[in-house]
Amino acid sequence: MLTFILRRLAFLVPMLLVVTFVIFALILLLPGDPVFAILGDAATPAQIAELRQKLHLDQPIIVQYLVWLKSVLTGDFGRSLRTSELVSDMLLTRIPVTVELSLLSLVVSCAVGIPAGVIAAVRRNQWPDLVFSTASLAGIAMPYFWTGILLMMLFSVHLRWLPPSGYIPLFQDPLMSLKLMIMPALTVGLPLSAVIMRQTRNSMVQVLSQDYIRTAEARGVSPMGVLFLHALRNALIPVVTVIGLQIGSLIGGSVVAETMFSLPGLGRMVIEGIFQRDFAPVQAAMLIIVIGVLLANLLTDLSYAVLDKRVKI
Amino acid sequence: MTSIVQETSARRRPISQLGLAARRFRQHTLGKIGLAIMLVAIAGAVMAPLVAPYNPEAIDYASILSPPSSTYLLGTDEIGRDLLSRLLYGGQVSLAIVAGAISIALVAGSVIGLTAGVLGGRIDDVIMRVMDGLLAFPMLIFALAIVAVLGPNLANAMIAIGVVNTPEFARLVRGQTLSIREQEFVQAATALGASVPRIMFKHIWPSLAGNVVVYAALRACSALITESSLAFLGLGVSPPTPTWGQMLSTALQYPEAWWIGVFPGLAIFFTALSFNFVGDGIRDAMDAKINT
Amino acid sequence: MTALRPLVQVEGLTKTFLSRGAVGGRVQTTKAVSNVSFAIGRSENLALVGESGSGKTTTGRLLLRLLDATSGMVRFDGTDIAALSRSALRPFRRRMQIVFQDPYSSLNPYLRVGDAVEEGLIIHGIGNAGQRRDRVAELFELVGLRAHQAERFPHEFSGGQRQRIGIARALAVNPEFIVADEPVSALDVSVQAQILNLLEELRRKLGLAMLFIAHDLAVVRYVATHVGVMYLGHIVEMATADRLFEATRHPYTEALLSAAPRLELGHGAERIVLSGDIPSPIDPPSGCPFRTRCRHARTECADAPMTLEAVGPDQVTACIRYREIYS
Repeated sequence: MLTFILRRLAFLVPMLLVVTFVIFALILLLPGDPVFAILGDAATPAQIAELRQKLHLDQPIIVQYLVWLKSVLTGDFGRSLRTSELVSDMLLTRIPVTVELSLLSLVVSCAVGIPAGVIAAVRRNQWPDLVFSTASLAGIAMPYFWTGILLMMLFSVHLRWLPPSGYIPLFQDPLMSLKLMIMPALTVGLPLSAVIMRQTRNSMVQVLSQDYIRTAEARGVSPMGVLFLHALRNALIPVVTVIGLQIGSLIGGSVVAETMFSLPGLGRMVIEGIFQRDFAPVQAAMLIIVIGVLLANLLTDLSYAVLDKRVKI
Repeated sequence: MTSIVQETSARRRPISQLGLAARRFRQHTLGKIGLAIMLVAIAGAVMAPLVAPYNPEAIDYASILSPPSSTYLLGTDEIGRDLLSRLLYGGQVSLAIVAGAISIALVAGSVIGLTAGVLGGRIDDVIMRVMDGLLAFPMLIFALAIVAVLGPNLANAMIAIGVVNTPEFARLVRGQTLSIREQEFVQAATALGASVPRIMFKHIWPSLAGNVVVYAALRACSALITESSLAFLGLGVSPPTPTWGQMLSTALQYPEAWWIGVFPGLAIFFTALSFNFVGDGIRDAMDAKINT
Repeated sequence: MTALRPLVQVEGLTKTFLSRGAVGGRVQTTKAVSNVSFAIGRSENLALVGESGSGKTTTGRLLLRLLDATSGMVRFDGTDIAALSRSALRPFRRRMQIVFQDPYSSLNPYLRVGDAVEEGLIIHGIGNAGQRRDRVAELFELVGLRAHQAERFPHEFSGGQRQRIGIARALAVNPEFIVADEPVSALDVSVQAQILNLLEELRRKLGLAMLFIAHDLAVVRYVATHVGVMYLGHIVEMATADRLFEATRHPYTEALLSAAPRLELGHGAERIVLSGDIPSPIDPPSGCPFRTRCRHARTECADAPMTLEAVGPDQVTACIRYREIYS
């Protein structure tokens, strides 16, 4: 198990190099010279040369990258041009919001997707299957933001059950915080539940047709026992993989949801940075997001190994 | 891990089976429905100047935010423009971006995948590590960042969405190339001294082109959603050019005007769904083996 | 084997494949071809014979540089082509060609067969469009097809016809040497003889050197001038065809011969049935690779290193006990 984890971690290194280089290189694509942006047009040649040297802009790109990577590795992401706030401090307040939203979305998607998938599989080709399968088909083509708009129109405007947007930290006012999180979590979680439902249904159908399930039934295990003790555990293995593959999409959805519902998370940090042309926070937030995705993938692999004893490691 | 050799169904399919595939597609209900919706969406966009009841920019101050009526079939927006006309014109931009982006991803991804698969060895390793790295980015965020640095306009939206979809195409093409490469007719070409590009495009590409086209149709679904998300977040083509995603962003400010929130969403939803259905239909008709 | 410089000379050819096992992910090495040496003179036909997994197909691929050798030399007309760069190799491609086993996967399904035959001419810049078309027509007639069939696609042909097209493709560039990789084993028995006849007739007519790969000695007897028997990547016996069939000096060759259907009825030789499977090339036996299935095996067979010993001017064997066995 330890060597498995180590090997997976070693595999992450080239990926991280690629990812960090791309994030770094995005800034190079920006039109305009950052020196002029900082000093303004009135700068003297001496000032320009000095700042160039200070920012390592006179060095080859690969050196600039390594300098940047070194500072990033020590947790130094620079300061926001806009607010002069340390980007690392911004991250500390933003990360919990996105983590909370992502986890809640995950809960929503599993809470909806897995039972729906099980029911569809058990009532295969009957009306519950038809309803859930159609809904899941539709879920593939649902843009996150449209789900969000429809939820908002329904729950805030027509029913007036939920406040339209805003954020309160969980520990400050747990009830209000969760209330504000319901719609964003549904926005992100529902489209994801479509994918989970489809996979649960398919693998459940497959598992239920296998011999050991029939054997368990024949031994007199109760139908519910068969379903939950035997079938579901095995059917969930591919579901876990699918969830892992959807983490990127889930975080993409979080960007949309955070923007729509004014949640101060990482995604909103990216969007705000882009609109204010303040790219240090954008880079930092993107890096954290990608690392989050990579770690989630790693966790998926590990849980896969734990769930499925057949995967020899 | 031992590499899994993928069976390519394209292998022995002679040309005349194209007709057979067309026949099978015609028996594919969802495929037909998808094709019909897709054609309606494309026709609406192409013929917008002919069928749109109003100029999409025409402002009617007398009927701002008016609900659907016989005058304005789908209602008007916050400055009194006809929603139906804007939807028809909006399709032009959205569909053009999707078509451009998928073309970019298809061409770039195929060339990259073919190169990696045919050359193999260290080059393959490096290329695929880079692709894996790019795949670690959530697609929307990656596209956002690219549009942010290049600037929001039609061409850059195509490039951004094209780039973020490229690694997936590259991975598919590379995987299939690896198995086709081992076929004897490719070895025969190598033995004849065929150049690498010749082997890539004349011998390997025709065998996987069908699968790539299916994949393109399936990816078009997510490309449309990415495009409308960019527009929704304010990083699409600049106003006043209407796009579906952009129209929906105004729905946030006027949530009481349900028609603004519903109709553009339905347009995106059904068009995206139609790409998916068409892709599924072609896949089943060709009996291609692609996992989505 | 000939006094003149042989066209193809192979020395110490070795190919090791690396694979990562599904279990444990450890890198395993498989020696597909082990220290193989032989020579083929102009207009000679060396047959390589062995069971599947013996390394004969890999050897053929190595000779044409369709695979890169791990070590060893392949001299073609005096030049070591195993060491050449891709571009330097190109002129040699024209001089050596291959006919494949599977008539279905050896033709590009999306290419008209005439275009497939013409391709080599285009690659090597032979003739203009008109001349090439004439040459393709001529080749089609040469292999017993009609010129107008060049317009068709591979799926419109039978296996035997496809194999004829494969031969035409190989001959198009006027090669001096051809590797025929089990050219008839995928065909119906009724068609096999036709294709064998065609190949042998063309070989004689055009004065080609050939490496003929086969698992069936009956087929080999008919076409080969020399025969090499391969087992687990090693050549275990090699001789002129006559010597090999008349004065076998290796138990494995003997077993293969006894398994082959005989034309002479009532021949008294007993049929030797090999027991067990061919050992895994990942973990081959020490000493003589054949000892695990050899009825003459003794303890010393596990210790003696694999070497070929000359039995006569035209015959070598790897069996250390051949004197006792075949006295």
